[in-house]
Amino acid sequence: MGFLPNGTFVMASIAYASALGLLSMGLSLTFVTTRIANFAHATIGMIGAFVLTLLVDRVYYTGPSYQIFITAPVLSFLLAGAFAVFMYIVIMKPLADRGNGVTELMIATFAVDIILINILSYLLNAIRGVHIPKLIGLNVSSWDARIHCCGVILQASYIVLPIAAILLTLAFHFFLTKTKFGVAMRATIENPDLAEVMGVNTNMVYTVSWFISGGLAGVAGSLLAFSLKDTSPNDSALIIVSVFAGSIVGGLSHVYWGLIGGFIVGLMEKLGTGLLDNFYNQLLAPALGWTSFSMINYEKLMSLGLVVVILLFAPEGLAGVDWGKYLRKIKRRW
Amino acid sequence: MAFLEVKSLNAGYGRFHILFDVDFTVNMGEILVVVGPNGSGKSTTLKAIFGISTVYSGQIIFDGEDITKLPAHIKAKIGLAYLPQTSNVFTELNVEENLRMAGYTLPPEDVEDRMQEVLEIFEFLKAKLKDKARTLSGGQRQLLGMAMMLMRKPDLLMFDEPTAGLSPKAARDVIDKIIWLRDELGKAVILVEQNAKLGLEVGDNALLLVSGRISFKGTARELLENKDLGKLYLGLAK
Repeated sequence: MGFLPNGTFVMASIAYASALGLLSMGLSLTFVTTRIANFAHATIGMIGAFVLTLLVDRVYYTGPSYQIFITAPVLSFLLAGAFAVFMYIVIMKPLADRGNGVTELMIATFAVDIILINILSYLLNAIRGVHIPKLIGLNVSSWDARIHCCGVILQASYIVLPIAAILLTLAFHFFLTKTKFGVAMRATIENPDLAEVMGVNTNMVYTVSWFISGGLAGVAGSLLAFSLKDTSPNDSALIIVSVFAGSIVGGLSHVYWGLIGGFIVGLMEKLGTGLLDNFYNQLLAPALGWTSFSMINYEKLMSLGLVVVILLFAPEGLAGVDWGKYLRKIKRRW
Repeated sequence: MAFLEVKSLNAGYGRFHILFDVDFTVNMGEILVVVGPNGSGKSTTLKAIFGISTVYSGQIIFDGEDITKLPAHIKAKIGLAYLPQTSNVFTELNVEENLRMAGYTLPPEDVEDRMQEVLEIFEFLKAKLKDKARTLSGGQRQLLGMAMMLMRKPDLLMFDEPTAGLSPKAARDVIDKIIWLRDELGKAVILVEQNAKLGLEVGDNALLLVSGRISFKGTARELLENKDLGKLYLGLAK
């Protein structure tokens, strides 16, 4: 079974999938609350990558440090969350209040995306070169601590990212089910008019949902930056495709399914493509005498192909599938 | 001064003007029944008072205070309650969460006591606290909606066609509870009712809306006995 990927590659894939899961969950959250498909979401995540790069350049330039796994996600959560709130209050809400529809709001998020990419690029240029000669195009993976685990050497972020995804999801679930404001958020998602009638300030709920969504993106971006080859705000243009794919696979209107959809898409992109590449180049091509070629650059084909298949067979995404029916069938068989 | 005064109310949805110069008052311990043909603006009247439709002009005075421009969540806090015709409970929350949600504006330490008081009135809910609201029957949902209204001890309760789609027995239960709210608790009630005869029989005063304008304002008994209006607009031709 020589075509199976090694442990490091599997862990890197799980880490990437975890980051996509967090990003897709955040995207779904703002969609279910405010009905805005936010195309700037991945770039908001890149604020996290910017924070990480800044910390590497100004604070942790001497070498890898475990502290960065606390400071970077926390600062990124706050900063990216604050930007998301700014975007909602200053741009999206006034546009929605003026009667703009879903399409106009979506286009506005494109505009914000481009503006934010340029701002981040400018800032990265501005801070360039205090301790590290060139920040743009910088591979910050050298600042990721290394862990020896099960006979392989792993980047620490490969472990931290899945753990962060699990902890943040649990915290978010606790918030939604056990706190008064969280229950109000669920109520607002289901029926905003009735929630308002019950005394809930739905506008505050929407604002908080944007903060959480931006915060989750920031954490994902800060930890994912360790494994990006070249940290650049432009990376978000490719990542957003996978984030939307994840949300759609999960079912755009379901927050937790967004997480699951993002995770599946992430695994398909990295692990799926890697398996396929190994299988073709190490087994199939040599056996049949076909020309070898790298499939790694076609990873988006996997995620978008999955979206097409899911939309054909489950138009409401995985959330719309009657899983109970299948579970009952399996139970009967056993 | 009346407990609720609506003066020259013009309201609608965005650019769609539905209500034209509507005036009426409601006092404590009184049921005002609003009747009229479909599309006459009955529901819009309630929504305009609560602030979930657009008010173009006019004034809404509640307990001596002008509340016309207040957002709905503040109106809920100062003593108004509104039960929409449909989607009036949170189906994905369980009964207990629905009641807690209804007590959102209460101080946290009061929610538990208030919930117990409400459960004493709507006893059937005690056994269903952990059930999702979507598992309740139509009548039970209406009663849960009423229980949710009472969580905040409001002074003015507005019902939008609470008996629509209910069996005769369930409709009677709902109407009996509304009468109880007036007689026992002395609340002010606005009842929009598609079953005009049923509504006018329990109401004190009545408002007949036709195409967003008031066609009749007086006692419920007068409207019930007005054969011309009854025949023309309310299907009371007998």
